[in-house]
Amino acid sequence: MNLRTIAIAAVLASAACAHAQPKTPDMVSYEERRDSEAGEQIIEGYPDLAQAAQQHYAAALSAHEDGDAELAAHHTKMANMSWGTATARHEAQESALVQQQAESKRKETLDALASLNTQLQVERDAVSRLDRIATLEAKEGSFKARDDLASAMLAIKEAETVNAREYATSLMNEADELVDAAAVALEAGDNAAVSKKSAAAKKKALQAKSAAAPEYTKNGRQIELDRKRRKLFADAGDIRGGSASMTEGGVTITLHKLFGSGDATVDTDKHGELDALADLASKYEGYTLVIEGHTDNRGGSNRNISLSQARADAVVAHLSRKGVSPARMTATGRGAASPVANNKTKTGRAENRRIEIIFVEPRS
Amino acid sequence: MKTQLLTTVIAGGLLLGSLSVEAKPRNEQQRDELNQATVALKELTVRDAGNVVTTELGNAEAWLKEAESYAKKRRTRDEFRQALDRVNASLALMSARLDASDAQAVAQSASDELAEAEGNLRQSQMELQALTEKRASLEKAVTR
Repeated sequence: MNLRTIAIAAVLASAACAHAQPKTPDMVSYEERRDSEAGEQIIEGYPDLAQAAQQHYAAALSAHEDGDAELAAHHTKMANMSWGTATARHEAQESALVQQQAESKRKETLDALASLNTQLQVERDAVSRLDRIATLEAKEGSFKARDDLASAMLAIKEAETVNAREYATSLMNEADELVDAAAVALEAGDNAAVSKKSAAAKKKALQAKSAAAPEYTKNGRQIELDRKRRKLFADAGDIRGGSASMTEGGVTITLHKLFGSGDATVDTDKHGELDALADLASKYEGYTLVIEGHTDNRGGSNRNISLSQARADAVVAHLSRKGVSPARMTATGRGAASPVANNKTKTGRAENRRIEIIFVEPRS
Repeated sequence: MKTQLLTTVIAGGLLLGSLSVEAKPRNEQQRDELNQATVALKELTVRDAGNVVTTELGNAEAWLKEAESYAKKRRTRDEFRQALDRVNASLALMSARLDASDAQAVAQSASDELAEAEGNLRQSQMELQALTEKRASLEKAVTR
């Protein structure tokens, strides 16, 4: 007996009860909880407990109608307890989700904090150095020395713009030490030493900038690729009937039910999905496409591989007709080798019968 | 007369005997079920340090006593089974509520830790902003 049948039985019994004894507060309470908004989630998430509760409640209504108050009370209590158990499990699951999200967000926050603390230390050092220099009284003949020191500090600041603190750490540390030494010499009135140390510091800073620049450019490109990948992922979500996932080197779009059983011709009513995919491929031209056909585990291995290959080829042919260059695409039939769900269930097998279109981003 | 007395005594003895047999749980299975429920109830009582399921513990205890009492006498309806069903349903409910309460506490603690980390982050961001501004003004002063 499914939930719908039980619910109908309960409603019919409830209608019959309407002419007999009024319902007990426990019965009213059960009905309120069952018919609430959360009730739907309970039925969906915990069908066994919800079904047990409904069966008990149907029995309670029947006993109530027969005037057996004791039996009706027993079944109402059972119904309320089964429903309460399902509700508590639902709450536990919700809390687990909250915990998971909070932990993941906390990890991100701590990572951001660690990076921020490194920046803070750099700024503190710079401010402390500048503070010492700024407080020194300009003495006779010290102007050139001060200019030299300022020039060295400017070079350090420029090196920081290409993240030299991260990519050329030791050179930057040497430049910092030389600037510190120059500041000490300035305090001591040794202008010659200030100019010498400042020149050396400037040289180290320029070297650091040169060393860091290629790495900074490369990483900047990676940042751009990441940004583009996220955008592709968002756009892929608009393809009707498809599901998208982001991988390290690209985005995978999975489509189901493109073909009839045992057939390798794309269903006419699925052309729209492939057309949208072709538009996406044209929009993201830098990406190459790997089209993989997958089957469930029914049928022979060879047949599954050739069928999945024929289906992947059919997708490539369709995209090609829609203007995607064949040179960008590779078709592979993987048969039943890469299941994503349990082949023992009907739903699992349907999940496994799929076409995956992998957008592979250009190599850096 | 003696025979009648003896018959009465034997009949009385048989009656007492049957009562003493009936006074015990109907069978081993019932005893096992009662024992299991008793143990589970004790475990949940210990687990409920935070008084999350106090009412349910009271209900389950009362139903367990009912089940024990029904186990000792034969009745038309199977009250023993119903009482024990209520006990077991109540045990499942309490266990789920305690699990939910534990999960809620863990989630709350994770949320508190997140709030603390976010607070620290905000503080560091403000400090960085202040330092950046100070550095810019000092640089201006030094290179002037």
